[in-house]
Amino acid sequence: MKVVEQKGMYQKFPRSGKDTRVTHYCPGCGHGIVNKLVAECCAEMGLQDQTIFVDPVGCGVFTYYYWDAAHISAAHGRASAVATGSCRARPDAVTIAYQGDGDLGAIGFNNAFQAASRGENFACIFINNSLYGMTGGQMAPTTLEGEKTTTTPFGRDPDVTGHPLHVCEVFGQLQAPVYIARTSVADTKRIMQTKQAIRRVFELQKEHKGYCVLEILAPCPTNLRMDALKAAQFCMNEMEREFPLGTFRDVEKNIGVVESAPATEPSPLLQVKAVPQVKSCAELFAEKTVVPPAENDPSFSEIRFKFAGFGGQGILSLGLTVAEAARLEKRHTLWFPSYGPEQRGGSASCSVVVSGTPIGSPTVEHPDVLVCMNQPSYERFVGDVRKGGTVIVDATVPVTRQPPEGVKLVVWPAIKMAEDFGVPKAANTMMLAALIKLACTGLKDENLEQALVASFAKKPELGVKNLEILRKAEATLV
Amino acid sequence: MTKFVKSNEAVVMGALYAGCELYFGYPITPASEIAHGAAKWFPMLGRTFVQAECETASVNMMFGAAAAGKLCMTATSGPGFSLMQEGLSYLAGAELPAVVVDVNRAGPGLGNVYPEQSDYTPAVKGGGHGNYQTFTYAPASAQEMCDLTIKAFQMATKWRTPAVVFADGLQGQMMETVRLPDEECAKPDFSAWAAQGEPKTRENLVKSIFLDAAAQEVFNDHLQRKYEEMQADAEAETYLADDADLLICAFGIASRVARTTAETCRKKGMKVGCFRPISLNPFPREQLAAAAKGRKIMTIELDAGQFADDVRLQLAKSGLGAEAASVMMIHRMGGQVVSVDDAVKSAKMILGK
Amino acid sequence: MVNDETVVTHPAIEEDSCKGCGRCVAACPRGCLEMKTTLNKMGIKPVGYKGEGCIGCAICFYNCPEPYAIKVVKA
Repeated sequence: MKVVEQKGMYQKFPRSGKDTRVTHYCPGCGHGIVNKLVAECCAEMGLQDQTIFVDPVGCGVFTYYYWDAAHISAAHGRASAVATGSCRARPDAVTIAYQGDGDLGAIGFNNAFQAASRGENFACIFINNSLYGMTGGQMAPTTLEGEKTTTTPFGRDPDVTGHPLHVCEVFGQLQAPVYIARTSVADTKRIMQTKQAIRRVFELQKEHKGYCVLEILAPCPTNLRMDALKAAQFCMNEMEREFPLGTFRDVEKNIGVVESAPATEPSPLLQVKAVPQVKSCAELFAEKTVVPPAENDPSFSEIRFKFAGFGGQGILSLGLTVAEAARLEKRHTLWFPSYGPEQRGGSASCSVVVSGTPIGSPTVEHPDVLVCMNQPSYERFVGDVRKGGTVIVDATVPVTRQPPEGVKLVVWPAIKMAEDFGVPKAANTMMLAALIKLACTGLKDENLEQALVASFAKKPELGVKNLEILRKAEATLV
Repeated sequence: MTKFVKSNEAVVMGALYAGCELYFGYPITPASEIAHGAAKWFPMLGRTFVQAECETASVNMMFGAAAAGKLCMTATSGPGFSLMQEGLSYLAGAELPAVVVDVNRAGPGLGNVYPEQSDYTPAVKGGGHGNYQTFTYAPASAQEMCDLTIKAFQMATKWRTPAVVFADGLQGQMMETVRLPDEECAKPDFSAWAAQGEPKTRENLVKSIFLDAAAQEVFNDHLQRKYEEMQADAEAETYLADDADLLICAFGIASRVARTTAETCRKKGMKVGCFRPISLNPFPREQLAAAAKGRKIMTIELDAGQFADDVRLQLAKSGLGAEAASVMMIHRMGGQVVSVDDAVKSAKMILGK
Repeated sequence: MVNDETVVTHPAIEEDSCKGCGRCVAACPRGCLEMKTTLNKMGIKPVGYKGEGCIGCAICFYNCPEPYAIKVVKA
């Protein structure tokens, strides 16, 4: 004796809150037929322990009542994003997202499309019944032209609402998916083809071959206002005209493969490199120079710096060099840039605070030292400098206004000197020379020099050169 | 090991030490360095970085990864944080651990990329639908960006809740010295409830749906009890507060302005101290009440007064109605930071000096 | 345990799980199913087996949207 009966589903559905083994689907619903096939294939292939089903919002929301495997219930439209997360977290699992045409075709289309484009390691089973079921038969992106729904009461007018969305055909433009097919559950032949397609999807997922989408045309008798048989006829006669059935792609069977661009010598600018692997965070973040943490030294009074100029003048790295020198001296140190849309080419400034005690406010309202390399920054900040402070300004900047009383102004030809030394990009190093010579940083010369060299860690020869001209420049400053 | 790093990078370091295995993110200024660090360092440690197509996707990818039993995170700023609210509600509703770092920028709308603390209410009170909360930390230094990210993962795990690390644009860009932990955290085992695609988790179901009103109420009661119990992990810090006449309440970057303000005021002979909530939710109510009793109170904040309102509420709940009624505020918005000068002037005025 | 030799191939219908959509009746290649005139627990007229003609093809099972309304026992 042999019995053909349901496999892969719970014997009863207590998660529904009722003592029942009847589904929540309407009589004649295509979801029911597909639910049975999915459960059967999952069980027949021995994948129930390994499968994670991602359930949608829509009529398919309760598949977790039925399928005997682990489930994640997603937000409306987000099953493909959720499946992306779970399949990345569990690459050995078989991940199946089950979505309807509102869920996938409308609110979640980009999530599904981008997951397909990335070639995520899951399969999407997409139920197309040409409308929104659970919310009351509204128009979906897949609604046929002329089809009456509760939001197209006069029939879908393509001039007003556009044309039906062909998910398989659109996804077919992508290179990554390994399997794209459309089947139907309108009659016995189609149901058995759908079973084969679902099996194929599970096979490909079992072997982690990549992204699959299987669109299944399914009748919705309730919202089509038809009996089960007429709704099935509607699927075959009307929907299939718009949505032809077939296997659009099966990469392993060489069906519908998207040809990639003809092979040419890869550009050196466009190469994927192997990610260097490390074993631990400690290895990843290990530093060549071990710098001890800051120590409290109340005898060292806080010094606040502002460095300002034109993007590209090395303003931010000058600030970083001073900060690094402070760190070498175990000072509490803070650096922050002005930032924003003007990533390059606009005004740039950064603030540095060096202190013997933990630093409070990070903002430098009244700098002790202001370094300016262009006119706008000089005019903007010169009035803020604290009494007893120092302003160093490049000689190219016209001194249109004097600093506040008690502030020392030093005009210094940093830009010209750098050019004269043949290293025009080193104007910031010339400014560092002035900072050292004026002894206004509170930091040791050798630490400022070491920090300068360290800032060229990736180009050591430039570090040597900068140190050389730094010392020459110091010698010239009277 | 100490490093001189941007706070945003310190977040990634903390996350890696905490055992975070997956990062999902969408670029946004001023949080992008977090994604940059994650894109480089997660794969080097054999962990996963995914650049999502939008913040809605990021938060739902987190939902999937957390539901599959792994620690995961994202980072964003105001507009992206708004987009994530629905997802945070789902994470809370499914009791999933995950960490969102919100590097606040100025709003509303597109606003700008400069610092505000105006996401306070959504980050602290639960910004999405339904009665949920997140565990929310407010770091004030690069060190805390690392340390509180680690703690955010621990609290998310302990309480099975999404956690928020609430920073701001200035802080994110700021470089300071960070001491990294000596050890990496052990990876938690979520197999009791997660969908891991393994035999032992086959019966597990991760969901936030309760069709039955009575069942939903039972679950909501459970959540609210959990949020009450979370109070045990509330954290705060005081500075010069023991004999203060005026207590400045501030969190995050504003708390550092408060610190310098208090020091400056003390030099001028005014007894000013600071109270800083380290966790914004659970709010350290008892600690606030202890520090605030009988004192004048001023907040410093980078929003329109959302924090001051919360301080009033927490004081009132602690029975300190008079203190609650007296709370004054100095604030800036639009990406401006309260200056120490202005804060000192306000303190003077309140103290009548 | 049923003795295999005594079992006749037939559809086994769980009437209270049938929603009466009629997909199985239309699909049965031997026309051996029909809608009953009596009501089940849900108040629906379920499918019934005419008593003979079943060849055990299980087409009724696959057309049925309900997992447990109909199964097929083969001799």
